[in-house]
Amino acid sequence: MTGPRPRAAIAGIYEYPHRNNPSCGPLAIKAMSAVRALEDAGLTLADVDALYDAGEAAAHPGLEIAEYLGLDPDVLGTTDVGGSSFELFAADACRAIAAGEAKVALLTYGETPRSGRMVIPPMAGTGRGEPSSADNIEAPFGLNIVANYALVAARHAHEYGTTPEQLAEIAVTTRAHAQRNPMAIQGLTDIGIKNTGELSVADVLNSRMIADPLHMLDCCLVTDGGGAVVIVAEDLAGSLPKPPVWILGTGMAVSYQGADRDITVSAAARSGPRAFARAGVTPADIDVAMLYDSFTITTLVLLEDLGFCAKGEGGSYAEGGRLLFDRPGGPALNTDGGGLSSNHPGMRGLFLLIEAARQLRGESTAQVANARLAVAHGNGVLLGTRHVGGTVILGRERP
Amino acid sequence: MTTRPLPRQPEPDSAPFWAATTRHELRYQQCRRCRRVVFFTRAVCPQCGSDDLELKLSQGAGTIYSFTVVRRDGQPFFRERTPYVYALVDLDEGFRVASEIVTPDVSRVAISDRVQLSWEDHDEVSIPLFELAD
Repeated sequence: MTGPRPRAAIAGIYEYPHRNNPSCGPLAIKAMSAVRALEDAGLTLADVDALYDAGEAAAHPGLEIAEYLGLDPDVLGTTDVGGSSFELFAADACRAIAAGEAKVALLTYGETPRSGRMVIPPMAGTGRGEPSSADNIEAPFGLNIVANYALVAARHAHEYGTTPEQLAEIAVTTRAHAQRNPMAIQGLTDIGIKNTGELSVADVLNSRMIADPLHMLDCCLVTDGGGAVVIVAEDLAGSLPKPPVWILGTGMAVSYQGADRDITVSAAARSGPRAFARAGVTPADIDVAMLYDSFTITTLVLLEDLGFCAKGEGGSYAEGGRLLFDRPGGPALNTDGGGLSSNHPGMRGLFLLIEAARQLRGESTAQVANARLAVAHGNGVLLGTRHVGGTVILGRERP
Repeated sequence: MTTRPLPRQPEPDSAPFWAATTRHELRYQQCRRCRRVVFFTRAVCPQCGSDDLELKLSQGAGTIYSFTVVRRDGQPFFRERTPYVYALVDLDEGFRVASEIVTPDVSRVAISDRVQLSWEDHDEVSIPLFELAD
C-alpha cells in the first residue's frame, strides 16, 4: 500500500480564539480563519485551488463557504465523518497535490454550539435524513452520546481492569496543558467553568457521574470554535514565511458494530499502522500526540491502538504524568488543552492538525523541546457503535 | 408522560423486523449462502454479498457484553427514566443488540450477566428490552 510519498506541507494555520461569541456565526468564523491562515502562509484567497469543508450539516457543504469567500477551487472535498473529517481532508489534499491537481489546499471549519445555544442532539445519528434499519433498531434506547463511549470504558475496565482514576489522568494531563494556553483558559472562563485551574484525579472522580464510569470531567467541553489550515505543494514550501510542516503519511479506517467486534479496539488500530508505515516512522519516534479527546476513554483507546502501549495497558500508561509536555517516556498529549480543556465545537479534528503544526514550528504554549515528529488522530462519529479513524503523521524535516 | 422514540416507518430494510415485534418475536437474519448471522436486518449479506437472507427467530436469551448506567440525559423520555441501564447484549444465536436492561436496582447489573428478552408494547410496534435472567 505504499506509493510515492505525497510531498505536501502545512504552510498556514489559524485557530479562531473565541469559545462563546454570539456575534460571529459559523461562516464568518470559517472566512476570517481562512484569510488569516492564508496570511500565515504568505498566500491569499486567490491562491486557493483546493477547498475542503465538512459543512457541519449545512445544506450545501463546501459550496457555501466557496461563495462566501469568493473562491474558485479546482478541487472540492466535503466528506463529513465527524471529528476525523479534517484528517481525511489532509490525506485528500496530499493526493490532489501529488496528482498535480492542486497547489494550495484550504481546510475550513466553524461551529457555534455554545453561543447558538444548540443542544448537542441527545439522539446521536438519528432524526436526520431518511430513516435506516440501523437507526431504527438503536433509536428506541436513547443513543445518549456519553453512554455510547461509556460502553467502551466499561468493557475496557472489565477486560483490562482499567480504573476511573486512570481515565481521569487523561483529563488531568490535558488541563495541565490548558493552564499554559491563554486561549484555553479564557475559553473556560467564557463558557462559565468555575474551576479553571489544575485538576486532580479526585476533582474528576468527584464531578457528576453522567454515564458510568464517565464523569462530567471525563467529557469534552461544548464551545464555539473553528479555524483553517493551508496545505501546499512542495515547490511552494521553500518560500514560506513559516517553517513548513511536512505531511509524512496518512491512513484511515472505518469501524462498526458486529457480533464479534471487540469495542475496546478502534479504527486507529488499522489507520495508525497504515500511516506509520507510509511515513516510515514508529510510535516510539513520536514527540507529540494530538489524539481526539471527546472523552477520556477515546484518548486512552487511541494511545493503545496507535501503538504507544499494548492493548489493555492504556490505563497504567496514562498514569504519573508521563504524557505531560516536559516529561520523558512518552509523547506529549494534546498540548493545547484538547477538547477536554480547550475547545470542542463538535469536530475537533482540525485543531489536532493546528496544534501539531504549532509544535513542529516551535510555537506551542506547551512546547516540547526540539519536537520533530507528531501524530494527529481524529476519531469521528461514535466510538462505541460506528466511527471513522484518520491518522496523519507530521514532521519538521523534509521527507 | 413523554414517550419512547420509536422506529421511523416506512423503512423497507427494517419493516419485517418491526412487524415481527408486534407478535413478540425478535428476528435476525442468516445468509442462506454463507450462513453468516446478520443484524440489523438488511438487503445484502455483509460477508458474501448474497441477497438471499432468511429471517430467523431468536429465543431472546443472551449475555451482557457491556453496559452503562445513564444518570443524565437531555432527551425528555430518558431524562425521566434516569438512572437506566443501556447495554449491548450478545444473543445466543450470535448477534449483538443495543437495548435497555429493565431492573428495579441498577447496581445489580454486571457484564456477563445472563438476560432474557421482555417486551414493551406500543401501538404499531413492540420494543425489545431485557431483564436479568433468574
